[in-house]
Amino acid sequence: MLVDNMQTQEVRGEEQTKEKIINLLERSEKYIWMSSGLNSEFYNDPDVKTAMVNAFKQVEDVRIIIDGDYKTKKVELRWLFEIAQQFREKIRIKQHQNLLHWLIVDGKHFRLERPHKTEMVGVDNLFVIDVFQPIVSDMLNKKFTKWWLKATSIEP
Amino acid sequence: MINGSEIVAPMLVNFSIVGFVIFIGIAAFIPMAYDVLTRNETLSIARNYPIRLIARLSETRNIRFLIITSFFLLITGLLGLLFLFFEEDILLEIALMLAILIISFLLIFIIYISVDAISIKKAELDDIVEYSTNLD
Repeated sequence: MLVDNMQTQEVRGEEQTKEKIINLLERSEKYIWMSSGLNSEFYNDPDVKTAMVNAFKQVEDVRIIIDGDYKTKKVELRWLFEIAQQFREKIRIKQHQNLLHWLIVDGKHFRLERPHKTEMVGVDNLFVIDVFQPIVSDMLNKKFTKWWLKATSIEP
Repeated sequence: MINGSEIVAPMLVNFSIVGFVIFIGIAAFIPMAYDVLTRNETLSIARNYPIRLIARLSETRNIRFLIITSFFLLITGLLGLLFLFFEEDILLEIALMLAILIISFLLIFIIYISVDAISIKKAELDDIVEYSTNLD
């Protein structure tokens, strides 16, 4: 390859964030790892929901860490838990506290978010496409894996 | 018998054995070294060229290349050894051709990996470091 094609873009605002997240999900081929507060308004949006369901169907591994209380999310985002039940072998959901909200697609496309108050979406996001140096993706993946190992499993 | 073959063949055997040990050693230890070096580090470690080089070398396809190369070196050594026993010119000719091929591939590989690890977008990396270290 020899040339670094990595692109980063800072995004603020719900609409722009939505568009970028959908774009990231559409790039998925192997796996999707996400840590999120799962804002019900944002994740119940038909466009986001469709993009997530389509992406979940085409990848081999989905890991979701819910930041904070999952019981209300189970009610508010019933569709997510239903699809997790349907694809039990590849979609796993866990719960943890105090983690950054990230979306990792195939270990080379990322959405990183600055900490913010709960129930807010698209405050400060960094979208990274086509990470070139393996050290960058390895370190981000390692950090997510650390959260994943500490998190508690949830029955969908 | 090829001229000077009694000098070339032992040299080839030695070169192959040393090469085999070095490359199989690199393939075995580099991923472990990479894991240890990055274990308790933050993403800012990606600013160091040697770490980027080790990370690049630790990629599965590159480790696979090193293992395959080391086995070809082993075959070269064995051919050289067989020549010393049976004195069949064809064995030494194949061994020499293999050695030249391996050295050429290794040179291309080393240049490719070294140049690949240089390339880094500093401003973009700074952004990623900033966004990913808030909870450290």
